Amino acid sequence: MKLLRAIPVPHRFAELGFAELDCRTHYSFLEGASYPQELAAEAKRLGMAALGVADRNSLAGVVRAWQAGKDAGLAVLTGCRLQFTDGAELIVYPRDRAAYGRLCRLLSIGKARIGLEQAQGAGKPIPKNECRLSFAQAAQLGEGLIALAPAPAVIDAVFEARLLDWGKTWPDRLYLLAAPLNRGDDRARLNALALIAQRTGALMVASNAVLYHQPERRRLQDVLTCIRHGVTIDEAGLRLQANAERHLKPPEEMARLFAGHEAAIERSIEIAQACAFRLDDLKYRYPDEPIPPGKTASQHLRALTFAGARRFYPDGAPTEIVKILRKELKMIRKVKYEHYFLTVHDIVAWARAQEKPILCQGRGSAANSVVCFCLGITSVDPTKQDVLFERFISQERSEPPDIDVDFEHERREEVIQYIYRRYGRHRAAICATQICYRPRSAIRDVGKALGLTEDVTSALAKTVWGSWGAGLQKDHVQRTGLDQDSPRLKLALELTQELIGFPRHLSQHVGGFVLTQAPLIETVPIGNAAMPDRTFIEWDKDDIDALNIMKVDVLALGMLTAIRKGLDLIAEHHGQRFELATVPREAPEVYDMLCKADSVGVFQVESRAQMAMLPRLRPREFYDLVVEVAIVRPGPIKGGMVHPYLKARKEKRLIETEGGTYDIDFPSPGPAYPPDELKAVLRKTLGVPLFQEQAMRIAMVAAEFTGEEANGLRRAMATFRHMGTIHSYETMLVGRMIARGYPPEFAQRCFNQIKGFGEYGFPESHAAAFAQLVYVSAWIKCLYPAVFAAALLNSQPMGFYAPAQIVRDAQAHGVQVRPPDIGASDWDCTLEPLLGPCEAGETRALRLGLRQIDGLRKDWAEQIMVERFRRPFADIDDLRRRAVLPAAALDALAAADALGGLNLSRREGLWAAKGLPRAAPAPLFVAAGLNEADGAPPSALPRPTASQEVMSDYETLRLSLKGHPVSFLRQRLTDLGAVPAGVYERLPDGRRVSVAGVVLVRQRPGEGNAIFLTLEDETGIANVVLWPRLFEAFRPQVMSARLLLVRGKVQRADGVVHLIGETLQDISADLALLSRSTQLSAALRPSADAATGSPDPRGRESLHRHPRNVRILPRSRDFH
Amino acid sequence: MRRVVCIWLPNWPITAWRRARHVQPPDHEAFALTQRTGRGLLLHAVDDAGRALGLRRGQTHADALAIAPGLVSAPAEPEAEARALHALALWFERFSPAVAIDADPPGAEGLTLDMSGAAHLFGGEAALLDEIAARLKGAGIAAALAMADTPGAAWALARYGAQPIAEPGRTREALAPLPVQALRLDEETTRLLNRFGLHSIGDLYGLPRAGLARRFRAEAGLALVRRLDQALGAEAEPLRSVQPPADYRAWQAFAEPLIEAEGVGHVLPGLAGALAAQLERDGMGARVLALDAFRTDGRRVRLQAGLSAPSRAPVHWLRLLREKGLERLELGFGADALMLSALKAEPLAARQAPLLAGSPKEKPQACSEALAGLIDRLQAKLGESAVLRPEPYESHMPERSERWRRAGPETSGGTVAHSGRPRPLLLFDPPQPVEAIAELPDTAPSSFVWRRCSHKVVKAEGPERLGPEWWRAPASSQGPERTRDYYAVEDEAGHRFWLFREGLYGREDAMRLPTWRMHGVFG
Repeated sequence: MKLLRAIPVPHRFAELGFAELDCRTHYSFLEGASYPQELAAEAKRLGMAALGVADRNSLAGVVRAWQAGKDAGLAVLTGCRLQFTDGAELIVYPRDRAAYGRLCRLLSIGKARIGLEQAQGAGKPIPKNECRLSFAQAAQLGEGLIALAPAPAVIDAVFEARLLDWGKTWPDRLYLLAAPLNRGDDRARLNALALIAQRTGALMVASNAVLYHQPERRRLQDVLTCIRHGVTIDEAGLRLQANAERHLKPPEEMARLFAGHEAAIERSIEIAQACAFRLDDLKYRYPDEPIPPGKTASQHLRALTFAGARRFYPDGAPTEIVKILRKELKMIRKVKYEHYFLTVHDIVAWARAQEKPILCQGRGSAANSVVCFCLGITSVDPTKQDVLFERFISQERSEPPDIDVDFEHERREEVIQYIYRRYGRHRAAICATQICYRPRSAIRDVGKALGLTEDVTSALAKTVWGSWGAGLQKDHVQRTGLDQDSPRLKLALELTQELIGFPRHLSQHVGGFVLTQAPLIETVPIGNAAMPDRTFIEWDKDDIDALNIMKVDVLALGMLTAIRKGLDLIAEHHGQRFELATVPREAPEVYDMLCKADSVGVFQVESRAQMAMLPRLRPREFYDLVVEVAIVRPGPIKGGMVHPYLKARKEKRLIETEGGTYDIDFPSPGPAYPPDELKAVLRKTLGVPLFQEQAMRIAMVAAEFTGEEANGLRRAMATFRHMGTIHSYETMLVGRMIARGYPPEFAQRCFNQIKGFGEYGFPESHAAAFAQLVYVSAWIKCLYPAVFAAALLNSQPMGFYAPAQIVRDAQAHGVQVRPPDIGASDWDCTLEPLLGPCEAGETRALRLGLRQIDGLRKDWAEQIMVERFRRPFADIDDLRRRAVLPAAALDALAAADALGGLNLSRREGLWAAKGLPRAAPAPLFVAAGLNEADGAPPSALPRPTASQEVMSDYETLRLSLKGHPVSFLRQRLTDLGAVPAGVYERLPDGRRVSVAGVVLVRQRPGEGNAIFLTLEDETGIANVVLWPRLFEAFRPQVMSARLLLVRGKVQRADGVVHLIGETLQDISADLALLSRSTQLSAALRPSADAATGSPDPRGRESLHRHPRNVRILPRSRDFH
Repeated sequence: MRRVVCIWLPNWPITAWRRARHVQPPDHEAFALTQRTGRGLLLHAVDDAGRALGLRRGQTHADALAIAPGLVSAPAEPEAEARALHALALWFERFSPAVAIDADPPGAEGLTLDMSGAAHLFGGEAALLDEIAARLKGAGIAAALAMADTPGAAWALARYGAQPIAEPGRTREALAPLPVQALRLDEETTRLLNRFGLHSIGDLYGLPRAGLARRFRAEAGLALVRRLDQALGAEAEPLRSVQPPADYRAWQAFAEPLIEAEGVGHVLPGLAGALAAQLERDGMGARVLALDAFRTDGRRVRLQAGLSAPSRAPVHWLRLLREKGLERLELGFGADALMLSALKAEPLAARQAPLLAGSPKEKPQACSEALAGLIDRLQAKLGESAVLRPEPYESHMPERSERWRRAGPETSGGTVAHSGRPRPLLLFDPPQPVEAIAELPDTAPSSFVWRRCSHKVVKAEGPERLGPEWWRAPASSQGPERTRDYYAVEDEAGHRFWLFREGLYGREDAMRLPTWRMHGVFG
């Protein structure tokens, strides 16, 4: 009979404390299978004295672990599991701050050879996310580091010899770390290890080599192992753990497993006590170089600020401004942020002082201050704007100020390299970004590990629209038509759910710089990035926030490049020099233009959604643009704030045109509370919360969140995607607001909005900075359309629209556009004087640059420019010799019809370019009996038709000035019943109509249900909206057509015209006709088979109408 | 006059895939084969339904799914496709001894048959094409055919032409309206020709050849001129036959397909006699004999027999072929032609085989061949799945640490890691029930009852803990498998056992009590 008698645990054991010192989190990528938070909470629950977190060659998770320890009330030791290049491992724990610094230095050496002598640092750079260290290197920096050598699976003489050797050289204490392996021989093994410990003097410490917090994670850990080795679970074999024992075990259980070796258990406590270092000890200091000697930081900042104020207000700054300035400076001094402002100023000032100044603009919570304006960090005039500065260093927010600086995208790298030079690579580095598993990547990797075939996993992955889908839902599975009851599939879905949110690897942040006074490599390890000359730290934005380390975001913005180029062109051709801050403000014609949604190319408001919003919002002043930028975002949309705001605006407009005053209708609480408590928060946005700060203020005012709770909510919002903590805040916020008498529906909307901000936060200060660029770019477009088009084309790739649309828009605004030509074009697009009379007062024509030509290199263009300046080219041979052009360059120029300056048409040019004598004689030709000599193009070479010219232009320039492809098909389209886009735009609401055009953009915005298509024909643009059911019915047409015929109903609202699609027809095959040499009129009769798209009865359709011919048009830009 | 037939097999990969699996195309369901490349997962072939949705070869699988989320796909098997194409080419030997495979460019696979002077055998060119078309259709193979003077012209007409037959000597006119890519040009050349405005083959006729050729990169220019010359017959283009036709063969076609292998047996003596007569004429004997049956479904089945000495004795041949399985010849829906050929023939005065076979060096080789021969014979007799060989397999679970594979002469591929733990030589399958008495939670049993005998444990080691392979479907209906704790124990008599307890106390399914099992005995 079975004996079911529990063995009493000896009382002594229960008292024995234990600290697990070998614990890997999921920052040991693809190895650890638990979050640091889970481990800390579980260790606390099990009654451990402390938890040592040591990830493989990394400190990436220590901040989170430390924070989780603080939250759970458990001492979490910061350590690292060093894996040497020879495969040996050593776990180290710093005793104090200095030892921690040495550990960081050591890891930096291993990851990027930073901090080494020059001679040692030579050689091939270490690849990203790798660490190469030897024991000798570790021993050199090992002072103050307690070392634990984990016993390998097979203990042999080699291990003992190594331990003995290490014991002699390691500068601090060295322990032997023993863990039960559950292989049947644990008792013998522990005894053997105890003997080795005795012989080598490295005392034995107990641990359980933890990989996850609970045994249930074994499955996920197995899957991670498969992913790491690139094998399926069926092939993984012994690479997997044999059992689920690698979890945190309670002290009693550890004591039982180590019975007879109690000292090994006790020692874990000793070590935990000896390692007193905590991340709280990192005392952060901002670099203080940028101060001239003899001045304090405070004095220097004051001097710079007032000097700036004098420059912006030559007649003396308004008293209001001076008052705010003094207040801000006082506040900055109080919280000691002078260095932060000075550092940002230093970077910005350097960028401005370049021979060709780099345009930049700051944004972020601290940026909307008068100080920043005076320092030149921002250009949002504080007299025109309510200053929000107080909010950023209000007492309840203990986090550092935040200034992001955008630079011209083509020149940001210069700024980054300046920062590295200025502070040194040991003191400046970019933050990390954690690349985490998202639904798609998770299902891919899990599916592969479980041996699901590729089409199954991609079918599953594909069903998740957008990258942050809410995870895989059951109906996703059903939609793929897969058998959802298949056990493997079920497992895959469960494990995918578990894996989502795990970090996969670290990558560099787009531009967040961390700068320190003390060497940064003694605060955090620095590693090489994938990009050359880039190094980044192991911590991400949230880690840095948690440690109160300040960072400067140095970001790239394409529009700044375009604005810089635009302002330069205005200065050159119109004789007036403007800067971001000095562009004339509030020009009514600019707002008129925006109200008409005439915003192709304008920063931020050029997307379909924004274009649809403009005529509804009707911006008339700067603050309207701030709202415009912020309103088409997940926050306000999810919170259902868009319509209330638009409604309020409409009412206000109506009342004010009648001369009345509009009273804002604020949501108010129950009678027991001040009815106007939200007035201060929502005054500027007509009683509707639109910005992130407002949502947070509502939480504090209307739901009485304490500063602490608000901070928690903010953190939950930031990590919303990782953890599900936000739901407790939901009940808290909604519940309290309802309790205080707010309408439940409003409370829920406020919370939804906060959730929306979690996906894409948009504070007012960002919106204001962006609105500034909206205004400036719109101003250029409105007043100098030729300049605007040239600047956009010269800054490609950027923005929403392809060059063809930018050029068409310019032409629509009366700009004369000239083709690229070696006789007149530079590399960049330029402006040329107009000779004859012209429309709209424009005096310059736009000359397209050689950069528009596919396959032409910049240095070739520059050689052409240099030689042309000496004297014009006589013929193609002269061009080839003097500009030293290779055959490929001449081919590209000829194919793009850019040899007009030599009086050569495209085909003449091509024939000539292709026929130029080759560098070497062609023996092949001699052998083949082909005579090399020949002259002008033979008469048999067909003459190109107009449509062929246009198609060739599209092929080589991605645009054509000779016509629109659709115009050649007009007769055919008319026969099919389609009207030009220009006609449809003027049709009344509700009219049924067909429009055909080239598909420019396909969009399925975020969670929105509708699909937006933009069609273009020779007369303009048609905006098509498809409802989901129609999309599903016409999916192939929507997703693959180049040329599309849409039948539908005209919908007009607030000046926006949409075509609500009802049926779609893919007529892309017609584009092939344009390349045919036969007379179009004969070929272009609509034929039955082209209309129905039925395949050729003989099955030849696939080769006949090869898509190659149809693909000449550039692909549409698709956004999902 | 040379006359060539080209057979274009649009969607050959899909046809081959379906033929290999005997699957009918699902109705209105787009189907594609995919292939992993440097650019990711690409479509390798698309069926008609897929093409109608706008899918095409070379598209990424992801893009294709965006267009057609219902797309069903399977990984392509290029080697199997090539093999199947080869097999089809062999089948076409029933029409012509010279059959070549057009594998290039991928996606335009087809066959070329030299039918010079042979069309009248099939009732003229049109009748020949009709017959081929009908047979392919009957076999479920989509195809387009054309006949012309040159392989190049036939290739172009089959893929791009409107008329299937270009009359002898009228190649130039027939090709003129076809697009230039019908000349088998690469993409780059086609694009440049189009850029010059040269779209149809006729556009090229009037151009100076040298002037045209030098406008392409050297080889491409030459290739263009050569392709044009080949198509027009100005340059010879030999066909590379799939296999050189056998010198000695006897052939017979039937109006009604033979369904039964028995029928073949009736026809065979006649064929054998005809073949023997051919051999006798030249004083030769067959060393390798092949019987090919051309089936109506476009497959060819072959029975091949090697002879240890040249022979032209039909009786001996027939006995050999019977042994090789003539009765089991798979004729499917019937064979409509039979061919008996001597693949290898030698003068009948054959040399003697050496008395002592091979030097010691060759011995292992000979042994392995002999083993392979034995395995082949056994498998031929007993069926392939009846002759198996154990092979180590990487798994923590003892009962899964080996598996059975089809026996073959080759040794197992790659080394397999071993857990390093001692395992008994004898394992029970399934493990046998045991009653054991042990202290909680995981101490070794102090005694156990197995097969009604009680054993007292004197020595024990363990537990070795093995977690279940959670990714496998549970074998029993009892619920999911649980963790096992293995103990190696020795009883008073010195017998050593390996037993385990399934289920951990306090963990894993508290409703099911742990159970004990005897899994094996040592030595």
